[in-house]
Amino acid sequence: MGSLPFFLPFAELEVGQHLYWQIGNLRIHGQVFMTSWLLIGALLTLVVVGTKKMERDPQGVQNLLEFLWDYIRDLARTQIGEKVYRDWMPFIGTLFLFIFVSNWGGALVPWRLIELPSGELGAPTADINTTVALALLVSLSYFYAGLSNKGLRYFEYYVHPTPIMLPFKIVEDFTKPLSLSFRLFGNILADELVVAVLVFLVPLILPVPVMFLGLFTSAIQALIFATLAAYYIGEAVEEHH
Amino acid sequence: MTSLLLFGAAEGGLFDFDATLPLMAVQVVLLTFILNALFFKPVGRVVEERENYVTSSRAEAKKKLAEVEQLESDLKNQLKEARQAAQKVINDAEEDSEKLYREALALATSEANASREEARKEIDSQRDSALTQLKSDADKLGELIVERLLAAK
Amino acid sequence: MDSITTAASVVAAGLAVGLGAIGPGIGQGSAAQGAVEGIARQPEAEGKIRGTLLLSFAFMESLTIYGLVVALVLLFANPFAG
Repeated sequence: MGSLPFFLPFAELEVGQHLYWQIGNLRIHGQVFMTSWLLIGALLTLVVVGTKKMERDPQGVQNLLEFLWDYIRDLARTQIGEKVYRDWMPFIGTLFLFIFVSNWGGALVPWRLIELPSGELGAPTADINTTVALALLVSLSYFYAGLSNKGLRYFEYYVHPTPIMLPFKIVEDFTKPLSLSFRLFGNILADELVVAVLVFLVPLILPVPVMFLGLFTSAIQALIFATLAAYYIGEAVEEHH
Repeated sequence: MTSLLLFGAAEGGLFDFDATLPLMAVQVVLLTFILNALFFKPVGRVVEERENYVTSSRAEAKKKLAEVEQLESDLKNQLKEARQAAQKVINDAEEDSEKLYREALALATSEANASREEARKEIDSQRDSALTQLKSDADKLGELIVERLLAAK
Repeated sequence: MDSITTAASVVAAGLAVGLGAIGPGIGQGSAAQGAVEGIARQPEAEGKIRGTLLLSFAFMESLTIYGLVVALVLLFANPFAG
């Protein structure tokens, strides 16, 4: 492998490097778990503080939590439908909150100041493992939702308007998690890369609007992931007539 | 060197799947249960309690409003009745006084008529007697004149 | 990794993002057109239209992002670089 001069600036970004932890004979990406634990800790702290003393007249953090709860309920109710949305609301909400906190945490916290022996800290959702894990969970949950709600009649969905749809629906089962995971991964990684490249090229001012754009896309991506997950579940439990 | 790690190396890379994936999935599932217990259930309970409270107090307010409207219409009816009764009393009194006035008027008129009639009769009889008197006087005078003329001859 | 592979990878990465941006660009243009017309016709529906527009923008955006992912694979995790 020859030396590639045009990669030298990118070497600063350390794309695709990981801090490996060895557990038994399993290897995991340490930096992903470190940031995700910190962010989950922050999320749980917020939740615990907000729900500690709840009153009928909401105050402070309780307002925020109730707004989030209402938002998630509306999302789940519109996509999944009135009948079973209650069962799936925590899952959809957790997806939304986890992805949102991960994206914003990765964009807002200056992780780069912390030196790691290898790799660097960043949004957990910028790692393909995380996004694929989330997407596979969504796949499993819509299968489970369909099977538990309709039993074997769930498979009618595959031949729903006509049996010609069968191959397409089967392919869809594979493309759904693929597009879900790659959309999230690509967006977050692209945000991080664009900001990093701009910071490298022009360290002052210029990256700021791009950072705001990144925050915006991060939030939208969390919303899209949760909406699509809810939509898939809703599609699986929907009754055909 | 970085690029050494990135390019085709067994270690690292963007698409480096390993045990991170299942562990992350487990972590997210755990987070789902934790958030369900800490966030979704309690906040949902509070929000739904409030929604129930709002609905029930709205229903109560509606009921009270209906009650108030009922009372108001009752009072209005009572007021109307009272007003009608008062009007009736006034009308009765007016009628009574009118009747009394008419009776008194009629009495007075008839008395006046009677006395006027009497007076006229008196006047008539006096005139009659005066006329007869006058007539007899004229007859006497005529006879006297006739006698005098006859005597003068 | 020989220089031919490197050159091809870099060109391909550029093409992946560049070509991948064409379609979504056109799509976003027509979506924005539709949204603006909708808002002009029915200004009271602006909030709803904006939300839907942003969501569909994000869907279109992700098509370009797929191209970007391919480009990143070519640049940073090239399978032919052995």
